[in-house]
Amino acid sequence: MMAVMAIAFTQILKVKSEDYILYLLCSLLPWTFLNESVEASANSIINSEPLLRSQYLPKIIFPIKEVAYSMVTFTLSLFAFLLFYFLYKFKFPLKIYYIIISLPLIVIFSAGLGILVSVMTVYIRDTQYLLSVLFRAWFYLTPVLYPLDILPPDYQFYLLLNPATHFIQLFTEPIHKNISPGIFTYAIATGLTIASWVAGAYLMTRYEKKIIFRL
Amino acid sequence: MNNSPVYINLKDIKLTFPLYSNNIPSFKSNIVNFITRKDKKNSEKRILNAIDNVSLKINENETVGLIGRNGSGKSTLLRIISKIYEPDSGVRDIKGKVVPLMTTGIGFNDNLDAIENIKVGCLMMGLKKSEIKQKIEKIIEFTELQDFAYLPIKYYSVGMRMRLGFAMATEVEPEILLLDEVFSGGDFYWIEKANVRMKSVIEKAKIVLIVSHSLNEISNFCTRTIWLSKGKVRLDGETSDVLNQYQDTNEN
Repeated sequence: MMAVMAIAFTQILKVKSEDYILYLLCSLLPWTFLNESVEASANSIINSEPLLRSQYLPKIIFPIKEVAYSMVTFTLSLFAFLLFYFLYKFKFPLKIYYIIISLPLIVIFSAGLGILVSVMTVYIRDTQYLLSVLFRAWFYLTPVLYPLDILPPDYQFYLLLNPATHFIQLFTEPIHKNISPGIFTYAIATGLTIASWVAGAYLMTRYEKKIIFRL
Repeated sequence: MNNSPVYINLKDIKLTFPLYSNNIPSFKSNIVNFITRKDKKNSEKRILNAIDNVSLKINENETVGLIGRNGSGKSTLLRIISKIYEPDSGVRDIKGKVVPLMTTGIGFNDNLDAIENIKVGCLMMGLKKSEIKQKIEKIIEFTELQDFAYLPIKYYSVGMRMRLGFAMATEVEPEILLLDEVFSGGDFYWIEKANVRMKSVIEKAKIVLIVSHSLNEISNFCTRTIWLSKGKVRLDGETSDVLNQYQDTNEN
């Protein structure tokens, strides 16, 4: 996947900036994780119907399981990316240690969103299709294919209203720009994480006991 | 294992199933309904009484049979006891580790083989990893499915699934064991073997609840029998009395 992207953008589209490919890869990884884990969580409860009919289990574990599964893929891709980075630049990104904070933040945020959509999907079965459309639109509105600072300042402000922007920056800033993600980014990301859990946990506790009758 | 008393105490349990006019709810069908102005009255919730004011108390060392026609609420009652269903009203007070074995099995994952399913199932029933390792061999040995142990469950027959489920549920030594039609689909030899196993399980487990349409089974194992009819307890008492009355009414 990374190799295809690297060839497509550098050779075919002739993007000149030599660092672009590094930016793309390090923004794409957290984005893919967010996208995959939330979409997989959506169906997690309805897919476990046979299990839920024969055992009592807290429903919250199903979306969390999906997020954990995506997290493994994500962590492995990060290592692959670091190898690529090393081969490309013959050094490691010095501020890489910041992702020790970034990684749990995005994982917990995704889990909150995942819980939210998993309950929604029980009551609105086409949530999964709506989500994939939504994520495609969201993808272009998030600085994944383009770095945030190539935009005019006005647009930058709008993109900062997008929650995903902050989570992407938690990765691109330490890895690509070699700077620490500001306290501002951390604060917003933490706030969003809490918000996603409040929303997810509210919906889950409210519907947990009713879900079985709607599967 | 701790020695606090094990019991099931249900008081005025009521459970209604919401009936929805749209079985697969979706955003798209909502839009279509809105545009075509489908009557709102149709989509109002109707309700089905599944369990209607059931109160019962089952004490330690009781083996209770549940009988009744199809749809009388037997399996639903087991699901309430095992917390799969949450009653609408009433008090559910249960002490002891409950292991339910529904007709759907223990909750198998179709893509995993028997060994993996035993691991996952035992974890869900609250066993420790070290205990599970010993159990796996015992369970496979008892089911006589050695040849199929590494075959994904989706290729299993109903009888084979029931075997595996029964072996697991009885091997984990639950305090309260709920069995829902576990002998259906088994071959003759298996039923013989399972009957022997049942006798020892009944001795070990503190409460066993058996749902069955085979009255032989009920009279073999149960000292007390509860007859459910339309979600209500019709008769509750000594097995022989209840079975006699049950058969009499069926003949009429």
